[in-house]
Amino acid sequence: MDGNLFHSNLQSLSTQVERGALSELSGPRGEGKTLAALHYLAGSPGRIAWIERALTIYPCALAQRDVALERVLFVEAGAPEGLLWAAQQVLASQVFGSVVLDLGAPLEDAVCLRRLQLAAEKSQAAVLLLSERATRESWPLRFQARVEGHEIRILKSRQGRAQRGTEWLQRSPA
Amino acid sequence: MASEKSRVVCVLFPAATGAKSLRAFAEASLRFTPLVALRTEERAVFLEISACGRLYTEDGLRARLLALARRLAPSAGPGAPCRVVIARDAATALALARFDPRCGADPEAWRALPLQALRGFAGAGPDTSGTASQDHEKSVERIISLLKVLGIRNLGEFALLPSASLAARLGKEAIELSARVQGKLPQAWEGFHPEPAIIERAQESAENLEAILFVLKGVLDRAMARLRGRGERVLALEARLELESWSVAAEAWRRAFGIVFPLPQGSAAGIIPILRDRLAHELARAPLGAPVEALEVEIRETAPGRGAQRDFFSKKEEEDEAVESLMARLAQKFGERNVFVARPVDRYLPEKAYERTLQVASVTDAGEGSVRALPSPERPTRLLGAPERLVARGNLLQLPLNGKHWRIRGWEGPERLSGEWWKEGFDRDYYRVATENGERLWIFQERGRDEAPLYLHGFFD
Repeated sequence: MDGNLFHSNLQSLSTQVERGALSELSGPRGEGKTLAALHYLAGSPGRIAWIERALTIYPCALAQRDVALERVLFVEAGAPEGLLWAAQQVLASQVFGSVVLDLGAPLEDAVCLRRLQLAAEKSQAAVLLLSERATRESWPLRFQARVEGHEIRILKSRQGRAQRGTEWLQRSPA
Repeated sequence: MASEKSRVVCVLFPAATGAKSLRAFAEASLRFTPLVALRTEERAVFLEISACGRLYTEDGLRARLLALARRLAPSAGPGAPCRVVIARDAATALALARFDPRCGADPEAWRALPLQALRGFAGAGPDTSGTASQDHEKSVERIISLLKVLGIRNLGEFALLPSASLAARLGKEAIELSARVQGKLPQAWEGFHPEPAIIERAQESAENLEAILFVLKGVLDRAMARLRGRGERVLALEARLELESWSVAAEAWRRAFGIVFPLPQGSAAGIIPILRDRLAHELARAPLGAPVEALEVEIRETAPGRGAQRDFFSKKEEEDEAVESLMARLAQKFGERNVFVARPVDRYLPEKAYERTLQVASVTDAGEGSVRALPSPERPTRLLGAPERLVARGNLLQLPLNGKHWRIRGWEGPERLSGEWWKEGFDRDYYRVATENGERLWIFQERGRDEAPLYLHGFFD
């Protein structure tokens, strides 16, 4: 694991997350997907909503990584339905620039994803889905990446950089 | 004598307007000026705005008062709109509202008012004596008749009469009338005092949730306008539904729903979604046994409201209000503790190093809050709710609970954290541990004990 390389890869990943669209970062716990999300949030303006079923995100870590805590609203939603309901409410308020939805297991319900996509589009907020595995229902997603062992692999991007299957951002030497 | 810059607004309502609507309007008008007076028998509300000239223009105020009147006194109706006149004193404003078709657009319009307008000047205005006595009224009628005989046709001509001869010709009341017409005799104000409780009611029938919410919106709107006049926001309210009593349903004819907001709410638009969720839940659990015939909202608890002026060039206030409304809605659903803004506190115990607040801070236009970097060393991005005990076997760490294990590549640390001896106290050595899979764990070991177990406390995810 090369820290500098991971950092430069985070830079290019942040440019791929867009407002008004859904993006997904997947990967096992402890291997860097939250760092990738925080890197994006530190550089994106506006309010942030962080929604989880049972909160594991550590707010002090956000402050250490240049994400001002005053900007962040934390929501502990309990049940999976509560998670999506909270996301819909947050997006409907139209005052949040970024919404992070920590799903744990991937969201495979295309209808829910499509609803989220429409809400994100309407509110012009960047919606980041965090999960341990990549969702198979990826058509509503604009960007999909996997972070594993602090390496980033782009699974899907509608920006034209990784249309053909998958693409590794610069891999660190073995 | 009324000062040169003295300005009084008179809002004259149609005769059909009820006293309750007038009181609600007077209360809501307190947002513009603290000097408000009400004359119920005249259907008129007066606002003294001499000292408020820098806060709003007269045209702007007129438009806002008309809009407020439409909300709070809908009985006035579009066909019989209320009239808003701004003049040098209350009596002149009232007379212009009654008799001038151009509502006092010309500053000298009072001169052309007919002699009947003198009735408004006799003991007129929001003075302490209330209505003029019958004797006083008779003498005014006599003065008006005499003036007609003398060929005087309007107030302008009456004001030109020499005051020295007025008492001899028309009686002593004529001197007082003349002074008032010319704005030389100041009048005492009887201040308007709102009722202590805010209860708004609508006698409307509704059979389903959407209809109930539709009626509640109007009721809440009036209650919130009154609260805004007091410079307050709502913290707790009770919505009451009265059901048709002829129904054979066995349940009580009144259902009440108390709602406590975690953050003070200042607009009906923010409260309605919360009410919708709450009523939908309650009515699904226990449906109404009969149609609703009346709805009532009572404000139970209030907090001082911010009276900040809207920023013309930014939407900060609107955004803050939207966030507060959203937080109230989420807190109703998930509980107050589960919706929060985190604030770092000076404590070494990692899980207590921040507190949960509902205080919403404004984010500047650039979208950046103030970043307050915490002291190094690095903290994990994920913290477990409760540390999980690990079992160590050589360079293998295992979670006995689910059997998950990690092969360790390297340890970094320790970072010694201890303190809070005055409570239970803690003394821990924290390590950042890299695994062969590329994960990074945050692990601690209690100090001061032989063979102390390791605990997994977080991940550098």
